[in-house]
Amino acid sequence: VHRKLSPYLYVLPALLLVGFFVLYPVAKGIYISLLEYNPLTGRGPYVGLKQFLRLFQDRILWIALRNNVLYTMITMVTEVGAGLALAVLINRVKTGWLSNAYRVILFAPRVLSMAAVSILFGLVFHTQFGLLNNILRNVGLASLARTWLGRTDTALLAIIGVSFWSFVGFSAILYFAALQRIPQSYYEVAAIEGASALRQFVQITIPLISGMTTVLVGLALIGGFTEFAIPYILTGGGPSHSTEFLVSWSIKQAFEMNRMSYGTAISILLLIMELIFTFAFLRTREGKSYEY
Amino acid sequence: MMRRMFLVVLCSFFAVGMAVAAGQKEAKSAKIVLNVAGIFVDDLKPWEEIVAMYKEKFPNVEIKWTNMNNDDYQRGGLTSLFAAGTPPDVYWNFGGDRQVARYIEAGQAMGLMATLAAEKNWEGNKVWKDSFLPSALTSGRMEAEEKDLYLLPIDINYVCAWYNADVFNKVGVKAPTTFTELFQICQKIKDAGIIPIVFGNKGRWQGGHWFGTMIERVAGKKAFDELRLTRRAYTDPDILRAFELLEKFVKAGFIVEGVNTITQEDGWPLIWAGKAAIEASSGSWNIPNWDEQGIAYDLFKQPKDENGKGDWRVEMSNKAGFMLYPKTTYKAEAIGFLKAVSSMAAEKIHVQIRGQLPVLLGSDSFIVNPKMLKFIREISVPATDTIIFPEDGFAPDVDAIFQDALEAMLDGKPAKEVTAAAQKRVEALK
Repeated sequence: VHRKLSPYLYVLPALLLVGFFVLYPVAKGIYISLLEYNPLTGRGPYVGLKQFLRLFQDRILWIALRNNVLYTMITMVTEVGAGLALAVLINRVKTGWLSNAYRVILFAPRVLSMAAVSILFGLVFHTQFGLLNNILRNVGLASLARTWLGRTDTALLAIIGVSFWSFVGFSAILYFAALQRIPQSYYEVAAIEGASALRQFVQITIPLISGMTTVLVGLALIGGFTEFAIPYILTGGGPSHSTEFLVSWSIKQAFEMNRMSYGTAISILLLIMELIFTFAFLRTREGKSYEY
Repeated sequence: MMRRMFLVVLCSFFAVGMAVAAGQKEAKSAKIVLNVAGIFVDDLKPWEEIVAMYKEKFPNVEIKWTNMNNDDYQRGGLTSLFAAGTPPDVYWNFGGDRQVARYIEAGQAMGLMATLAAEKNWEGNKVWKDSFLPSALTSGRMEAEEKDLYLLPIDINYVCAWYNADVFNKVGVKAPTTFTELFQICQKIKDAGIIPIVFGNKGRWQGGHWFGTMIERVAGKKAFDELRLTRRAYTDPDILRAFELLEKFVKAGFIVEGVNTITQEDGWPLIWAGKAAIEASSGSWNIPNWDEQGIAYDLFKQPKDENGKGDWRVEMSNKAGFMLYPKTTYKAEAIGFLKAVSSMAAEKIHVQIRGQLPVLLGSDSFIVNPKMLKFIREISVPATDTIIFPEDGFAPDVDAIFQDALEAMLDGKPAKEVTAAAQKRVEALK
């Protein structure tokens, strides 16, 4: 009995923590989304699926969803792709201290809080005093200087740029670690067989770092759909909701518009979408890892 | 014998120990913690002076502040305290449908009028209610017909336009009294290479203060209030005319670029540095901030519209103050706190240090700041009526439509398109 029970006892603390901090809030969220809940009284009448039906009529929700999808796709491709390119470049640096310096510089943005990064970039993008516009003006490209965060055609791009700055180094460092694990002998054999550098990269490097790609794409997918700090701090979702994201819209509904149940329904929609995307992505990756 | 003595000593120690422990427990239970929620993150010091005064009468009460940034507090922070099951005994709030009404409807606000009428003020020299300026003692809820008072007024806020006087002198312009004059001086300021008008609309409130007054000046107070209650259409000719007036200023390039992406605090340095001239709308509570800069500045009433239906004596205003949680365990202490913060000594602090306009009768002598005097003489005292700050006075759904419309206007969208879209959303609400 002791042997049978002991594995469960080992995982019990973790299960309790997950249950209390994850499962219970999700269950409570589902419950609240079925009510017209007033947070000030802790009560509300049962309204069934009314909050979920409202989702279809909410114009801004669809803008937020489009932004989340665009943001996720672009950041995923650029951050993972550029991260890999940077990792390959650092991997070629043979001077130990230089390689270390590159890694520290690349990883540094990741240790800063997103709130601090967003405030910092708020200053970079400032129309009058901002670093970006000042550089453009000083190099004779004043016509390109603009209100980056105040225009519907540039605000989302600016937010994507901040995310790229913050996460590309992280991708690079993880890829670098994966590249370091690939035995050099594979490349030596391929070179003897006459494989070009490109072919070596495509047929050796890419498959052997695919595990890391799975991790990074998964992180980008989850991070993209739960993005909040950068748009909320930089633009507050504006101008004209052009940088509204699902999480920020959910929070605004719940706390600014006093619609706690509807805000929760948006969160549940987000949770369902994330579960679907994550499982679908993991299914596509099944059986594609390489042992070496 | 020795054994007996040992037992006696032991028992004595035990008895003394028990007594001390009981005494400590009693002392501990007598200590009361009064939870107060507010927005005084950076300016708690004046409140600490008031608390020190309060503690002279209530030595067993400890005031535990939960302070948040104003925007966070108004947009979810205070609600979160209630939602989390940790309601404060006393909480700061703002008048209007967005804030006060919700707490009244949820039964989380105590009516104060009976207490004010029955009890003496902090000083004990008059009935508490009679300490206040009569205009300060309204419910704070715009649509309310109830006779009670739920928000004890501490601050009355009025807004007007502010400007850098050196810039005005340099350009050779004077404070305008009409929108036509404002437009003309903006042109001169722009021609001098200076940004004419600055405000920060990122928080979706400051622009509403300016434009709300513009609506009143063009369409009248009745139209403003009807728009607030969705009884007047955005496409109404008078309302549309107000939007078109704003459009004129936007199209002329008089408003700072990126106005929707900056905060009020982002805009100030532009004016203080002489790169911009006018802050379109700002409140009396900012006088200490501007005074600190040591620059020459002045104020002017929001201009009138020569052909408009508005009244130049109507000003945009709201109150802020404390509300009482009706289920507080420490009602007497909480009411004592309200008396302390509305005492004459506290009023002096509110006026002279916090830069607030007075709410108590006979506190005019506290006003020594010339800008504050100007606010009193030219704006708050001559005001015959008020319109409320949109972010406080409009219901959340209605405010969202109003702020979205304003944001779109400031983003350069045409008035007709914006008002039509806004009205469509109002219809959907109904």
